[in-house]
Amino acid sequence: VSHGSVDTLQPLTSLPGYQYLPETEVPPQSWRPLGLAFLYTGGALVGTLGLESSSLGSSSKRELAVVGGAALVTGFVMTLRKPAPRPAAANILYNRLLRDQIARRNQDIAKENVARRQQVQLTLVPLPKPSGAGPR
Amino acid sequence: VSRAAVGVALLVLASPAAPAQRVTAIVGPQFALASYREVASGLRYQGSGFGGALSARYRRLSAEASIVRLTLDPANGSAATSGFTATDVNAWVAYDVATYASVEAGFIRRTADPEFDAQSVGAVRVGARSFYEIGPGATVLFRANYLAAPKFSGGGHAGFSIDLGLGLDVRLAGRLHGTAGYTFQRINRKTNPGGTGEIDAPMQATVARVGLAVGF
Repeated sequence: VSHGSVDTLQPLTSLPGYQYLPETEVPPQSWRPLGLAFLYTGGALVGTLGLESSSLGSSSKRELAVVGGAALVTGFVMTLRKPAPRPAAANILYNRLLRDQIARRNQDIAKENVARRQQVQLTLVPLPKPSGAGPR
Repeated sequence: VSRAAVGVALLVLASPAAPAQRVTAIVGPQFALASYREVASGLRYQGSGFGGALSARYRRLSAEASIVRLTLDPANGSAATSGFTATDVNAWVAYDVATYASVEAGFIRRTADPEFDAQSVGAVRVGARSFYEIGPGATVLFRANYLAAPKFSGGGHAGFSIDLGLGLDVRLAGRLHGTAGYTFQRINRKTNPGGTGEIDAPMQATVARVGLAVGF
């Protein structure tokens, strides 16, 4: 008994026309860090000016200048720096869907390969009679 | 309240589950600048000092504490004749209620030495803060605290007391952080000396703290 060859399908590692996307992205450079530093420092300045006691007079701004200046310089430096990569939610979701789809297709391929192996051509060849053996 | 706040902070740091849950903490020394006014505009002081600060975070819970010892001398044109030394202790425990906002509670205690050269004050803090990461490893925060139930060494009471703060934490390299903090404090103290009637004796202080810290 011999069997013929079977054309089984190879499992997929990617889908034609679909590629994995990077799961992190570098946000575009913006003035947001400096703006936020201004916002927070401005909040402290406005709060200080608004809450100063009229009977005690204007408070020293030396302390706010030191810390507010540090915050503004930090904001400016962060504005100039390349932003840190952040997770790209849409790409992560897309990649998950692509992986699921490939896994589903591979399951289908595995099932089809089982079916193909069951439909293999079998060849039965009668064996020649051994010499000397004859009907009695 | 102060013991409770310190207890919570220690509990967070000493929790057995803490290492697995990534407790982050920074601690380091700070240099401080301060100005202080009391009772009238003529009574004003300026000075500087040294101290330290500690902050820790565990999930949504965070804690901060700072202590600074300030040497305050009469400012130019001040009616004060001598300076004093103040020890300023602050602590907060905060819980994040949103991505960029926390509610917090804590206490403040400032003691003056010599004792009668300025008011010593202690109060409970209740308030909120907003914080934002403006860049990789750089966070700014703004806080507003109501100072509840203040107690003064010279007696009196205060119906309105508030504390505003601006903070900055920048990771400079590896575990090394740069920290800065600004505090503006106004306390509307009223007192009744000798029972002759209530008079205003407000207090106003600003403190800037700048330092380095090591992260864990």
